[in-house]
Amino acid sequence: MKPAAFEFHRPRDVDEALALLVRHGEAARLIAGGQSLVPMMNFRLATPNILIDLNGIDGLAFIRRDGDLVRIGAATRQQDVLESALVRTHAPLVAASIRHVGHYVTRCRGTIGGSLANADPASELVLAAITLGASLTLRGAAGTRSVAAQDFFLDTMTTALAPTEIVTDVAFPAAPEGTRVAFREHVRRHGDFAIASAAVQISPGDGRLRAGLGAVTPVPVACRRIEDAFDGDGLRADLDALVAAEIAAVEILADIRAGAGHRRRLAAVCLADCIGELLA
Amino acid sequence: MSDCLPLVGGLRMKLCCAVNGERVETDIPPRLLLADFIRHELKLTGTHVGCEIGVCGACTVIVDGVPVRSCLMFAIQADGSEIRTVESLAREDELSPLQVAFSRHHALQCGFCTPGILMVLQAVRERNAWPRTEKEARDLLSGHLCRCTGYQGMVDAILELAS
Repeated sequence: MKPAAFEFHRPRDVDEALALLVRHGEAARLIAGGQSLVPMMNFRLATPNILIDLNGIDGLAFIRRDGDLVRIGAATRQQDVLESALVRTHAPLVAASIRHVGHYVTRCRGTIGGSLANADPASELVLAAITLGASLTLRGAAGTRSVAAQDFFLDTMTTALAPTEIVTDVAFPAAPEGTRVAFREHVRRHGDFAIASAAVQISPGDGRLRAGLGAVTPVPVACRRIEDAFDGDGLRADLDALVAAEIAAVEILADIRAGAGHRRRLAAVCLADCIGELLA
Repeated sequence: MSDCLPLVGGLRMKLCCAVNGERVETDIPPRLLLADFIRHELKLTGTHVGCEIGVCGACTVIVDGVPVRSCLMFAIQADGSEIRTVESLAREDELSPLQVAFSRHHALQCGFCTPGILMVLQAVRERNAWPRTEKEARDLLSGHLCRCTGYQGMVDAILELAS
């Protein structure tokens, strides 16, 4: 229950951090909040030789409106995102989902970029990013690229981030005025890893419904059938049939927390409840 | 600090920080967890270590005004920081209002989880985020495991101080 030895670096800027990544390759790990990495290091499931601490870098923690986007710096603490009036107003689904991330103390230290780069299947923030069609900015020695959430998350705890890249921010499409959101998850206790979760947003401005399922597949999925069945006012097909079709289309995870059958049932309840709440 | 536990592995690095208002300057291996630094090197054993994976909340301390799980932070990451532990709450023989409220409402039995809970509450008080309702109090306490009390006394103490 003590981490293996490592060499510690605290770069002053992103360029210095990138140079360290280039020099040490996969022997190095980045640490920001450390709320997922340090437990893994304590269990020795992660034994990086080099630890690169991003907490000494200024300019990676911010929340700002950027045209039609809400852009959040990767090192922004989850609790700061939750308490942001700008996020509540212009990215309400992010605010609704982040309430369920860990506990107050872990949110005070954990970062939004760390949660996304960790890519846990049960991550509420990954679910929000997939559902809203967010994009992530990745910086490497060769330059900066923007990757859509659906291309960034590849598999359980696996992303398109190269070993020599750093997530610098995430951009969510700003919610049109009058947007309503719903978020549900099933957990044994508030703050635990979700067994099933669902996020739904309806925006009268663009007449769109966005829906996603989390914690039941290796990567949260957007529910395209339900999105396409929304006519700006209601659904063109039976809700329960649509939900059943969404869940039948994906392979459901089974693990120590829940079997596939239990998860399938909980996912259907979470998703139907969210939509039911918004269309009531 | 010469009788501290032998620590192996990795280069030692210089750590300068302030703990409960006192300046600390020492050499530590980077892999030393902040919780172990506080307990084994500084002998401040009020900070308790329960799970070492960030679940139980017993090791919560305040670093630069922010509550953190000290088992999920390396001591070297606190270089240049101001750390406060449960030992900072009482003045001489006088308990803080929070500690008095805990005592009055029987909010502890064995006391193992208490330091972590006192420190998160101290932090939310300073951050103007004090729970106003029972639900908010229980949400905050959900990050801290107590196997004795059932949390009721803590909720009562929190709500008393909210009014």
